[in-house]
Amino acid sequence: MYQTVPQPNAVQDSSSRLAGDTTTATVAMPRPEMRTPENGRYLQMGYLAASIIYISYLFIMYRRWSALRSRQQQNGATNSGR
Amino acid sequence: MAMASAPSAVRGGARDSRQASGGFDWFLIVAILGVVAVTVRVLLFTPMELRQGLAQKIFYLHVPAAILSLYFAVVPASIVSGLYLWLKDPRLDRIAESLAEVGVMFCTVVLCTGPFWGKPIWGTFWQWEARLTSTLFLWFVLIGYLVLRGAVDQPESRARLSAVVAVMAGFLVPFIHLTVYMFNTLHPMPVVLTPNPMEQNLSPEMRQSFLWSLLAFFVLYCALVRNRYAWATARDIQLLEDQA
Repeated sequence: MYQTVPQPNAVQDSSSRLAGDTTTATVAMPRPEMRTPENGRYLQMGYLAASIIYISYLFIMYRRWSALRSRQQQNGATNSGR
Repeated sequence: MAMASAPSAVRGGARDSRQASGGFDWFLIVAILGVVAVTVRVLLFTPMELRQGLAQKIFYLHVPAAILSLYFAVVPASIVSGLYLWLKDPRLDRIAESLAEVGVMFCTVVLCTGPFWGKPIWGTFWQWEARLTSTLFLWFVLIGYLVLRGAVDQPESRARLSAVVAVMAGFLVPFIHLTVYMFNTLHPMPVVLTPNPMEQNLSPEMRQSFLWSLLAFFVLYCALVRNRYAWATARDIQLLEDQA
């Protein structure tokens, strides 16, 4: 399903810097461990975390609207009862 | 005092109260569907980066959230808050409040998704380096903004104090933007939205997916800010009716 495209970019610079390489290498050596199945699990966890945050915010907004509507209805009922 | 300022507090409220009856409108639903569609495109139809593997796809979630949080939420909230301090228009306070809250949400996404990319690529979830630390600091300032708004009851004082905090938060954004240039940080340099064409090294398929992702999340951002502003207006109208 996936194609693979080599992408030498600044990200590899960063990983090599963490490994103690202080040179200004533009293309770091590939790190095979990055392709392990665990790597896919981090993708899943990242998307799960973002989904939880977005859905939680939508739920908060839904609860706010519900609370506001019920207050409006209560006020309407009180006013019509006067 | 509250009654004297009542007409100005709900300026523009008639249109927004109509929106209030709908709550979740068609625009927000379209925005959510757009985000779902772009997620499918990213996960199933976008090439996998050779060296970073699947973890690189967090990029399509993390970077749009960062751009929207910093440049489309915090900076406008800061400008609108500055305008509030000048013009004292309650609509500006409601806009700033809406922008800041949506900005907090996107900033939370940035801080939560970044570590899941960092662990397989850097070997660690977190580093106390300039970009990450300054973004975390901005998040705390934005949380402080929201807490402050909840803590002050008097509307004019709340708007004035929180506007000052929002203006100060805006000053952090240029600093966060420049951290990757000013310091020897782990965080990557910009690879798409950079003025230097030599640094734009995404493949065309990846760039297209990124731009679609940015567009989808931008529409979601607009829908959320619109919805939040409509709710804030309806809330203020309700408060005035309660007081009356």
